[in-house]
Amino acid sequence: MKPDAPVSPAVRRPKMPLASSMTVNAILLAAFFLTPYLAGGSRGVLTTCITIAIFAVMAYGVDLILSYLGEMSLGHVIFWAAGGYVTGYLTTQYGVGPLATLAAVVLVSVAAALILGLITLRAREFVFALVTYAAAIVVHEIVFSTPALGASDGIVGIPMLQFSFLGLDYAANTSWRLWPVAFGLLAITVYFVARFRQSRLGRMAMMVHMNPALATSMGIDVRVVRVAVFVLSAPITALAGWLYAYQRAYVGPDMFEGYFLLMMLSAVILFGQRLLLGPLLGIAVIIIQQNYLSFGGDVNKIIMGAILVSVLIFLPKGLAGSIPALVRRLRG
Amino acid sequence: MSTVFSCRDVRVRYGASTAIEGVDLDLPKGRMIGVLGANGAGKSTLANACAGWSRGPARVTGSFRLDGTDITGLSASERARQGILLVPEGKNIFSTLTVEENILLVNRPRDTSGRFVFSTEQLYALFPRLAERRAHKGHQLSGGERQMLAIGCALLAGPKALLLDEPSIGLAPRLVVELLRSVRKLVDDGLAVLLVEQNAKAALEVVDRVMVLERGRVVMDGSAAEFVGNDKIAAAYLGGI
Amino acid sequence: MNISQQIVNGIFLGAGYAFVAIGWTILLGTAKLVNFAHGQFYMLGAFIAWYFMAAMGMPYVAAGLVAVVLMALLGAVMQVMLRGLVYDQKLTSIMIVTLGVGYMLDGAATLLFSGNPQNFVSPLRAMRIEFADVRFTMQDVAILVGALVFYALVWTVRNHTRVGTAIRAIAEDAKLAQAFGIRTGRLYIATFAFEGASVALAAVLIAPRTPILTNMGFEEVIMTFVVVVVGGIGSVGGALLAGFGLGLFIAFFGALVSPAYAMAGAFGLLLILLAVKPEGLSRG
Repeated sequence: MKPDAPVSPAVRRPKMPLASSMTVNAILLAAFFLTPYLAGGSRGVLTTCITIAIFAVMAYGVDLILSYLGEMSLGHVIFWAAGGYVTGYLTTQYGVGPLATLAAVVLVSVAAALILGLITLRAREFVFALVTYAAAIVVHEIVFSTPALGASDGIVGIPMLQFSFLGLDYAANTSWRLWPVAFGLLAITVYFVARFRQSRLGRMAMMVHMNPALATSMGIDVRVVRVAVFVLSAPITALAGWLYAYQRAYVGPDMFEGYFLLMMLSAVILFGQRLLLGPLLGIAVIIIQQNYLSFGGDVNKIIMGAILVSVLIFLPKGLAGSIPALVRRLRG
Repeated sequence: MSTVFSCRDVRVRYGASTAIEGVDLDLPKGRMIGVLGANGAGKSTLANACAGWSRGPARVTGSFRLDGTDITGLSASERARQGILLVPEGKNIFSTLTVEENILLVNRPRDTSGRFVFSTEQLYALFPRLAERRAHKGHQLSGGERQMLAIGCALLAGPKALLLDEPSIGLAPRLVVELLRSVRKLVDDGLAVLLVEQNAKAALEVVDRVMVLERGRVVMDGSAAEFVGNDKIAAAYLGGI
Repeated sequence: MNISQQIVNGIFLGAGYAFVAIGWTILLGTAKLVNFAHGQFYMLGAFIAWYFMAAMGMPYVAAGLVAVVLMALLGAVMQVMLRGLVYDQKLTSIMIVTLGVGYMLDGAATLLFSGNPQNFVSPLRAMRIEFADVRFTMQDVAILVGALVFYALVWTVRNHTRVGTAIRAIAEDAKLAQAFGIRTGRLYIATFAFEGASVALAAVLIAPRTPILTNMGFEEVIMTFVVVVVGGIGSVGGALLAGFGLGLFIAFFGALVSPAYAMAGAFGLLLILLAVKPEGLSRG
């Protein structure tokens, strides 16, 4: 990789509507933060917001690799579950504090991503998708069969999130106290993704996505970029799992289910790729549908699958990307 | 002279750039038209557009007619079945299949009216080397043999119009002459051929008319004699050879 | 441990894996399409056959045929849906769409057939055979014979018929095939229908081994991946050999180490092979 390779004009930053401006994003995020407080103390709204925040962070991991690199990781469920299980295991078996579990979660997810990434390094692109998908299923089976990890019952009794830092005590013993933590994690994630887009790696990833031949001719090693982005995306989803463990006080093999994978993919694709707050909006739509407009688990599966399929077939640019074309058509 | 294939106002775009523009063409039965021009002038693009085929995402506008019927809406495979056979430049046979298998793939027309009928026996008679190598896979053939096979497959499909895209590439000069002379014989027997060639000298020996493309536009369209007689153009295209 | 029994188990298991994988390997080799709904196709094949037997009173063979035909149709419909994406070569989108469809099928099947385990009864399971010191049933024999016959058929069509040659041509160069007048669109549909039919047939033969659930199919997916990647993408002979090899591995691993982690063992094997030889074992 040439350290100072100029970014070719071929990588035009896509002309995005007003929504990409940082100010608008900041305002939207602030509004999201205030929502539980403005909803008149409704616990329902609060829980929904926390869930949205956590799942959105989960989705941002997939966003990184799908929207910018254009590759499909079906194994992000592993990082999500790993985040939960590492946290659950360390807190219940060793009484480890949240900052330590956070570090452990990052380490484990990065290691897992490195292993999977390096093994598929030389293989063809879709082998990467297959291997990550298979890995998720296999790890599920292992966890399901291993008593030390709770087997089919999972790990219960995860203590609440509380830490002392520089004399400051914070205990998230209620949902109200958990909300700022959840939102904080979301805000940091969004900031991280925003920085990634501007970074050299981010631009290389987009170039690899849009024109691999050009990228290679400029000295970019496509496979190394793929592994790098994959490894970077893993801890994001894993951290969502970390917080999820504290929120539910329980982790189980259900964390491996396709439900979460489909949710991550749908959220990223629904509003169109490369919209900074896209995953957050996508998750919000999905969770709101499930909490307020649910038709039962099986029908919800059909709905979510149908959304994913329809958007990809009929609106490949997602809802946000299709609006300019729609507006043009409406105008005449 | 009946026109077998014609096109009007053909424009081809790849992304933001225009490869060819405003091209009209009339290909009569029993005639060979040579399409000449420098590299990148749009010759291959024109042949591909006539066949409705392209490797990349080409956007083609304009109208195409076969025996007077509008075929603009037909896909590449449909046009091939209707009798517009393209022999593409570069990879034009299947390397993992044998000569016989390549031939097996060809869609033999049931209705042979107006078509140039060609049988496998005639093919092997025209290109004896293919007969010897019939069980060999495509990647085991030499460049010349691959070209023979490619043209042969197009002929077996009973073409009304044959579009040859740079058949001489990678072939020894003597082989090029042989090949083009074989094609000329078929033209004399009634086949309509559009020959895209970079090798202007070789093409001139066998074509009836010449169309010169420069940066996607037609700069000359006349008989072969007119081409040779036009000092400026002839010098540009024949000068160095 | 009874070695001969394990070998026989391995062979029957392997025949099953090879059978489940053949549709996928042809689809991937030809159309370069990945069908992530494969596991759900398997599940549906089993459930449709079970339904027609249990609820409609059809005999085993007839119910099986219905399942095969319906799944072939489903495969064809899927390909028609994917047509635009296939033309534009949007592989990632294709993968995600098939994943989404699989998920929809999961939800739909649970709605239609309930989430409870069902007993898919095949008359062949009751016919037990004892030979030397090995035991198996006619069901096992049916799987083995079925797999071998099916593979022979596929191999013959692929290498000695015009359709098979056209499919190989498309696998090599789909664009050029169009220039040859080959109707690639129809062949893609046929290939996807074949995938649906073959995995349904495999399910009808194999699924009666255990109670069926609408969330099943994942183990079959893993085994299919391993078979296809190890056998070489698109290679018929390779898939058959890989299937038997995997079957033997699973049988012995299950007996020597633990049956619960057999899938993990197979996956580990796949990872090792990928690390060492990314192209698989066959020329593909």
